[in-house]
Amino acid sequence: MIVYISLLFIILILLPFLPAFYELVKKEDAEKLFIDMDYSRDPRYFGKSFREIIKNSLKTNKTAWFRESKMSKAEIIGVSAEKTNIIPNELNYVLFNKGKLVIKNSVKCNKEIYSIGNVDAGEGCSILALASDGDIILRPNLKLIRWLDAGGNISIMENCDLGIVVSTDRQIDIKNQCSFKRLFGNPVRTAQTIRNADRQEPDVEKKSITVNGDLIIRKGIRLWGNLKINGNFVVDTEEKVEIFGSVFVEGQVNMSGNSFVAGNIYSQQSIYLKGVEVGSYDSVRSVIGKKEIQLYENVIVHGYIMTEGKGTTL
Amino acid sequence: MVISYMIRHFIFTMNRMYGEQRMCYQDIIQNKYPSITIVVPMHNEEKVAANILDLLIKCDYPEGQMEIIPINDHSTDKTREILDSYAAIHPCIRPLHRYNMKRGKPAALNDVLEMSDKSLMIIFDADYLPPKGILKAIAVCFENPEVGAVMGRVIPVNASKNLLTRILDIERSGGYQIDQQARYNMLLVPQYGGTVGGFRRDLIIALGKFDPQFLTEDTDLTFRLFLNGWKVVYANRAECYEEVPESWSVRARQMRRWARGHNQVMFKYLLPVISSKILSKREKIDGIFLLFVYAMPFFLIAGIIDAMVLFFLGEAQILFNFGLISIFTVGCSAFGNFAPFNQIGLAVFLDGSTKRIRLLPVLVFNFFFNMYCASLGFVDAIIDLVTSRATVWVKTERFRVTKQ
Repeated sequence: MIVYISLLFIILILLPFLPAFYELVKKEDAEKLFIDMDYSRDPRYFGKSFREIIKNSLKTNKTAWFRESKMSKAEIIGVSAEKTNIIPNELNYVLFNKGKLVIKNSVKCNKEIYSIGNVDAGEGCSILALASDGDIILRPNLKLIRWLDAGGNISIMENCDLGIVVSTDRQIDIKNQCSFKRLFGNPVRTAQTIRNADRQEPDVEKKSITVNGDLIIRKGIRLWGNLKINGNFVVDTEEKVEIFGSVFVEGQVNMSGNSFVAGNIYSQQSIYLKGVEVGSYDSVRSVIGKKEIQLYENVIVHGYIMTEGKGTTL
Repeated sequence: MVISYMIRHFIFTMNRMYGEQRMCYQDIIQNKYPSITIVVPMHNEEKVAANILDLLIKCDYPEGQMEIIPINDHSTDKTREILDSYAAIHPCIRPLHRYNMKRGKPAALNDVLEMSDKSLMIIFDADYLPPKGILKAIAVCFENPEVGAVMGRVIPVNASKNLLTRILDIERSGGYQIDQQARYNMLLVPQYGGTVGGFRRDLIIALGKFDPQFLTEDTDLTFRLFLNGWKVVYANRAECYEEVPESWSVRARQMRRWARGHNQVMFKYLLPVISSKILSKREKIDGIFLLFVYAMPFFLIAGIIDAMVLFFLGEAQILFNFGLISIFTVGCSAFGNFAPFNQIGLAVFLDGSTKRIRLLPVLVFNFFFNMYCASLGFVDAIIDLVTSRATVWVKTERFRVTKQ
């Protein structure tokens, strides 16, 4: 009896360890956690890496119209060498376009496109992903599923859904009623003209300020240094407000009027901008709002705009 | 005390599972970055020195804005030659050879504080393998004027080696993915860990530099920053590989040194934390928890011994109070046994490598091992306090054979 009880005791003691012993012996999940050692943050990453994949895939068999190619999975790549290629109907293969590209209204592009020339995407189109070395025009009511990257300027008409990211090193003009997650351009603008291009940072000692509570600015002011605001940040004046530093806010950011921020705007909540310029041509900066970003008229951001929630232009 | 720590673990886990996650600053993109000095303290690091220097040179950071100062701290192997050979090729590498002064990381960092003229210092231990984008990810956090120090995430590179490394791997996941991130989310006291992190150079000079007597200059810095109104930011996506000990004896020495140093800090900062007018209430509470982390194992051992003695002497009256024992048993089961395991289990899940959750039961071995080593460290710290004896820095042995 004692032997059986002892055996039972040993079994009950060891039983919980069985999965661990199994894993130690089998080593099914023993590899180190993955870190991409070559990763460095690049807002144009999708577009750049896609171009590389296409170029590498097309190194062989340069004449055929359709080519079997290995991208992340086996894909057929269509190659067009026409001066102007027009897509009239649904596109179901990856397209490499050597000239200009016109996508007709309401066409669904279910695969990625890489165009060397300019792209004009028609009204109501749906595009999975698009890279162009030239300019891109997105007509109204277009839906982008993933990403879009241009070597030239990007012009976005009303009511477009801009997917995960739209990026270029040059200009993005964006009309109202568009939704976005990430935009990168120099600049991204809801306005039609660049204001205050000659703005010079004053040569004075910077002094950073931390505010415990809300900061509301109702008069024109110049501040030199970074701001940390543990409440909300409101700029509510038509007078000139200039901040030569970054603004970090725990609450909401609501800036309107005629404001300039030389650094970044960062909020753990939401950001509402109207009549605000951020960064400059030679100083790319970021506007990051965790929950929401709303861009009204006359907003110019030299750099990156990002939200985990919903971004809209109004 | 034990139950309060259990609840703390439980709250952190729930925060990571259901709570709102604060963003860190790595998403900020800008083309101008502050000047940085990358410091790599080394004592007999010939096995790993070239590895980290190669990776630091490859890092993505604006040219002219960074310098690398590897510290050869009383090395007797080929560390000196390796550093000089790199310095001869790369002008941004300026080795500091230390032989005639006090050995140890705090003293060495003080020398670099004087030697550098950059605005930030970013520290890596010699066995670390920094990825290309990590410098920007850390440096950009200092745009927030409230931030005094930044801490990144550490991931074991030799996780698959043996039982110990596998345990340390999942323990690290819990410590960073849950513990540090939850503390950052909840505006508590994330800890600067002394490596894969950085601080403002001028600030540390203004605060009186590092105390060479402390074995954990990182914990000391964490509390000095918070007590002076600064914050420590945890950047979960600033990830870097490290080498964890592969033998139990090396791990025991490391754990004992950490516990000794941490308790030195506890003795120094407990009253200032309690009486601080700068810290918020939640920072105070978490700060006290953090200070006692390496004292707890000693009290736990003392409690277990005490309970056993009382039991055998027939004095354990508490055992006969059914209501009380039920509360403690259920409490321990719900929060005690499950809370740390929940924490590590969730961390592993968030990291996306779910099969290693099977290793959770063997953590119990590590629990008793850590409890023993940390208790010895606590006793060491008491002796330090009473006798004011000098501390000696003990280097953690490296195991790397091939270049990573």
